[in-house]
Amino acid sequence: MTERVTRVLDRLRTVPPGRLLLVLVLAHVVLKALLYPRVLNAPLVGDEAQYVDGARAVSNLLRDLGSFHAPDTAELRESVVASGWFMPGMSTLIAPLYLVVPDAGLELLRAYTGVLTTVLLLAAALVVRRTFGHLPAALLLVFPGLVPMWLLFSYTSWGDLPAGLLVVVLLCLLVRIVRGYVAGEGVGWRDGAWFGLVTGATLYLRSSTSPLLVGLFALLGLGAPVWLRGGLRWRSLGALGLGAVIVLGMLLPWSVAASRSLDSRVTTTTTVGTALANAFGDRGRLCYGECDPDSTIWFSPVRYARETARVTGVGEVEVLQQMSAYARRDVTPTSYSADVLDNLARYAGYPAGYENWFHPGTRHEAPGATDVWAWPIRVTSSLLYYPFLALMLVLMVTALRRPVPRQVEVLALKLTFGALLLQPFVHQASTRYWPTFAPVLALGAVVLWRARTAPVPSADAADAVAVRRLWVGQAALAALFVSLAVVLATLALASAVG
Amino acid sequence: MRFARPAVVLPALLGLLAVLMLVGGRLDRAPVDPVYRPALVAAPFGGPCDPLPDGVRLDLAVQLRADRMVELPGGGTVRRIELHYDLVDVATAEAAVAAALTDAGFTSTGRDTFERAGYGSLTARATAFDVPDDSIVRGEITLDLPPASLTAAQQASCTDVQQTKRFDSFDGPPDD
Repeated sequence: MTERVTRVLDRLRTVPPGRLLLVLVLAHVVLKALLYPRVLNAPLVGDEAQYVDGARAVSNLLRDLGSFHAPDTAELRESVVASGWFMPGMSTLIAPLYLVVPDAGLELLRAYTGVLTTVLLLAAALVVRRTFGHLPAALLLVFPGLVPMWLLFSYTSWGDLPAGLLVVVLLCLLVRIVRGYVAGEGVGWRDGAWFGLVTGATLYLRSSTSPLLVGLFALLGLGAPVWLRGGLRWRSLGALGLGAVIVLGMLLPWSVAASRSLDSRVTTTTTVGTALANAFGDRGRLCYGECDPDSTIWFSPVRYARETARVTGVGEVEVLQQMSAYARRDVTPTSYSADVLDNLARYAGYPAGYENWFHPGTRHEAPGATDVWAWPIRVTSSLLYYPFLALMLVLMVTALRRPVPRQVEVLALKLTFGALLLQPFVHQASTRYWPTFAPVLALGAVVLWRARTAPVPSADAADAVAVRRLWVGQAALAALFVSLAVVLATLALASAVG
Repeated sequence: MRFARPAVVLPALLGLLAVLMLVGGRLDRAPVDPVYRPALVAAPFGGPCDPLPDGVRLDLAVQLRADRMVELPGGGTVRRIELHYDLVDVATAEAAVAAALTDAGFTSTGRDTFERAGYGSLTARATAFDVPDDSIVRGEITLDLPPASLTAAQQASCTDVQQTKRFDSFDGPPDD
């Protein structure tokens, strides 16, 4: 197997890098253009409505500032903060469209996000090229760049997909900083600032990445004192501190606006309580009984909380948290595990689960209707997706004794995928979330290959201690991953039996 | 080590944004439609759609949860009003309900029954939820009213279920 892949890679290496990447970019653009008719008038699905409405309000804010008027704070409260569910990263990215074309229709919106996500993919591929070389960049252009479902999602207004591309950029930045550590170089001020900026942008696009983002910062922060000495160590920690300050500075306007608007303390999002209750608790108790039946499991609890806040003067988010706790009173380890497995399956198991939302014009009349292209789209997406998921699972359970930089890459990927897998443990999962980790899977395959094919360092090398410690770290994470999976499966099985 | 050239990229992006802002400032506003933050409908208490008997003013923080006709196990139909009360214990809630009813001309005719000439009799019960002491929502008040208390005028003009909570079903929102 390894030899066959090596042969293919050797042949690919004979193609001039520029030509290879150009062909793949063209293939991406052509396939994406061919898929555009499927989405061009697909109505906004679910949360897209909020992101797009937020974009209109952000565009009006920019418009007001550009014409030296006072911003319409009521509009910002209702359309951008709304119930505090979503940080307005996607709204900000889409806002320039409405700034220039205030009444842009769906076709234009879909085209705009399509172009935007392709630019982001190309930027991510460039960063991957500079970090890992042109073949890994080519791989990113194939997966997810040629996956039909991913391309369909790239026309939508959810933040999951662009957040995934930024996570890849962050991973590359991290790998390069750690390579610098190993070579005895510190983190420059500019690198620290850049890392903070991309982290903040990722958080705004998808706040569920926050555990990952904290983890990546922690990894860099812990690495500095391990590898660096003296002034370099302190300067590096200072540069990372600057990055952290930038993240907090970016987060602050949202936290303040959301907290004020909802009269509650909000850091990133207010959905966690309701999400936990809907995913793991008893929905029939969430409103101390059933919630109002005329709305959804997301809106009805907020209505109850607002009605309670109105008569008590307590912030609605605090009410939501108490409601959630009441609904989750009877959650047991077995019921929780069964629900997590259910969530995990939806999170990572059905890459084509949203295909039937993208049938031109048919969604409302016949959701689930298929046309002649539906199955090719589903099948090719799945055939491309599952092997990369499998490779990532291999990466999660292996520990390879390799040169330090390669091991750091493996560790970073393990932590990243692990952190992105936390989402189904705290939230009702959907089959539209996988684009957040899809590009990470491509990087996982790259890193696994690089580690496997790297020479095993000799036991008396100068950095033998570091090699061994990192290997222990890998093994520990692999053991943690396996034991978590076993515990979950056992408890879920107990719940199914009992 | 340099990742990119922020010195070039960032000012270029900010400059572009500034130009767009100046251009956009001369254009119409984008029409917003805050569907994810629908306006909260006013509670019905004190208005023409108030489900409580005429003149009854509860001195309690409550949410109306349900207003429906219920067949009693022993026969007969009542109009059942369900309220959730906040911040006070069950004894205080009970006392507040009794006080509101007697202030409106009802007389107590049993442990939890009240009566007023021209209206008929009603029962009022308060039940505490099993919640922590610092809970905001504390329990439920159930009022069984005469079915005729839902007047034809109310049925005709009070049609916003978000306000009246006269839903067709009380099974909660559909699973998604």
